[in-house]
Amino acid sequence: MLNAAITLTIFLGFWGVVVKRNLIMKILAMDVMSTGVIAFFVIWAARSGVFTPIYKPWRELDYADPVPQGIILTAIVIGLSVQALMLVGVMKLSRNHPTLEVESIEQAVASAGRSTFTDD
Amino acid sequence: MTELTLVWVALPFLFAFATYLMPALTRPSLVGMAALTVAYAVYQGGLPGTTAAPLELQLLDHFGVTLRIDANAAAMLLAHGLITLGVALYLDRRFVGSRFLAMQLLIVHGSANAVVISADLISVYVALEVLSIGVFLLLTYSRRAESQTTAGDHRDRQLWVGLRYLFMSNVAMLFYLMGAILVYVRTGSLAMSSLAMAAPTALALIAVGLLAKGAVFVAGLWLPLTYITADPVIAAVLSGFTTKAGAMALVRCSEASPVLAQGLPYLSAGSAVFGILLALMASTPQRLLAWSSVSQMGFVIAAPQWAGLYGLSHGLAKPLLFVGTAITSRWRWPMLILGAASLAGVPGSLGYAAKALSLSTLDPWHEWLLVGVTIGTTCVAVRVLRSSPPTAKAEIFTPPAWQDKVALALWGGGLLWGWLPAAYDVDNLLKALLSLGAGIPLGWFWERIPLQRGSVNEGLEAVVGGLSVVLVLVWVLLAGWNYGTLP
Repeated sequence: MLNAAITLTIFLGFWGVVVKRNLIMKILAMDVMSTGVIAFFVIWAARSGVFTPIYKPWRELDYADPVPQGIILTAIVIGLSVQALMLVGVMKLSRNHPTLEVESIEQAVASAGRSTFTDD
Repeated sequence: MTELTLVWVALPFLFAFATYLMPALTRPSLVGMAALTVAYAVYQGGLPGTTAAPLELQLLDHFGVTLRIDANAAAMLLAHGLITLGVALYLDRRFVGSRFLAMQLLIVHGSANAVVISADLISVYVALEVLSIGVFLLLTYSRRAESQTTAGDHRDRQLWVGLRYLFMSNVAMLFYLMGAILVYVRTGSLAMSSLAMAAPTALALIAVGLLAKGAVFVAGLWLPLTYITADPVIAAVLSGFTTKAGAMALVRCSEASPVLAQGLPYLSAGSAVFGILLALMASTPQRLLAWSSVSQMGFVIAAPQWAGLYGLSHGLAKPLLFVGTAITSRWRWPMLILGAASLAGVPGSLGYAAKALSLSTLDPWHEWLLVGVTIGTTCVAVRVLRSSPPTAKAEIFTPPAWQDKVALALWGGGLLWGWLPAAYDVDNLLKALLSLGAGIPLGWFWERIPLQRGSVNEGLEAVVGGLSVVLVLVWVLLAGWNYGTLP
């Protein structure tokens, strides 16, 4: 059940990246997708048990697997920094393209490209 | 040797951050680092025709970092070093912000090195993400912007292309992460050697991430617009080694996993044909070169044991072509001719040796398909040679350009170095003559052939949507045939 919900989250995030027209919405959808992937890691780590993997000699518990959790920590940090970088880029783009609609930006970019090519 | 390797891996990052404190050291440290990489690669058997024992390092314990430096990796490291060395010379003090670019180049250089030598899934992931951030900054930081009258438009264009690249690579790497955890759950290890027992779904997810970074097949849709928009020198870096890093990681995965190795020829053939068809329909020299890169990536992954050599020869030829098409000095012609000769596989160049050696190990259908694609590549090379030089307005480099000479010596010299006797037998020479004989006239008269100039949608939706198409295709490729036979 949880697995299905997480797969659905990832799929919805990917769908949003493809379908949403606005750049900010696309970035948010990407965030949803990466949240899904993080949850995916956490769920797989909890297969062997749900207790925090801090070893206490006097407790006999089913610990969660610490390796996927450790890995996803790295991925979270990287995802955050990439997203921050993209938002800075979007802020700079928004000066000339205030609507941030992908289609209008692509048209403007393509027409600018064509004019430089005719100059060449 | 272990200590030296570790110092060499860490040094670019150390330099890059140290140069924030001491900006004057940026260019010397970039040149020094590139020279060090060349020396290290030569020591590890990176020169064509030499061999050295592969070096394997297992850092920390079972879940630690695994590094492996074999002949493939060493050849690619040589390419990294030579290209960085040449590009470092173009980042002259006259250009605005060249220090910032040199620093980014250090980071890109270091992370590409790390991708090529890592042998576990998570090190590859981290290095590829650092690489994509570095490439984004290289793409968007225009060193010409201050001097241009239409700076705003051009800068927006670069920014958009950079964002598109980051979007694509981030989504692709999310797929890759999902694949990595599936491998871990199944095998209890993240080393690449555990891919042998991985499920096809996990392999497909990992392959999509690496295909997108390596610009192979439909996942390479992002590449042409990116190369065209980027500064020619930056395009030289991109085509020289950053896309190869993803492809090399894929090749390394396929060495460990028989299922992936089985699917690789189809991806290679698909990429070669897809790229060359679009290259033949393109019109500007930059676009021709960019699509031909997608096609050449198919050659790089064709034969895993020669991937490093092919990557080296293509990685040295493309910077010559990209820089050559952008300059107008008299060094333009030697650059273009050397680059085009190697790209088309004229006997005597490294491109010929790499092509002959990798084609001779393939299945017959694959081999003859790639020979057919080589005719197209020759045609593209001839068309690039015949294209008109840029007008003075678009020219970037001021005339007495000693940098051109040094870059020509470094890259062109590297292309002529590769004397591999194994590649010169009758069969291979005949194949080369066949493709040259058919390709050169075709390229010469190409403009007269009445043909619909087509193009594909290269928008962001197409780029990201292409990933899902590739994911389904690769999954069908890997899972469909191996259903029931897997462990």
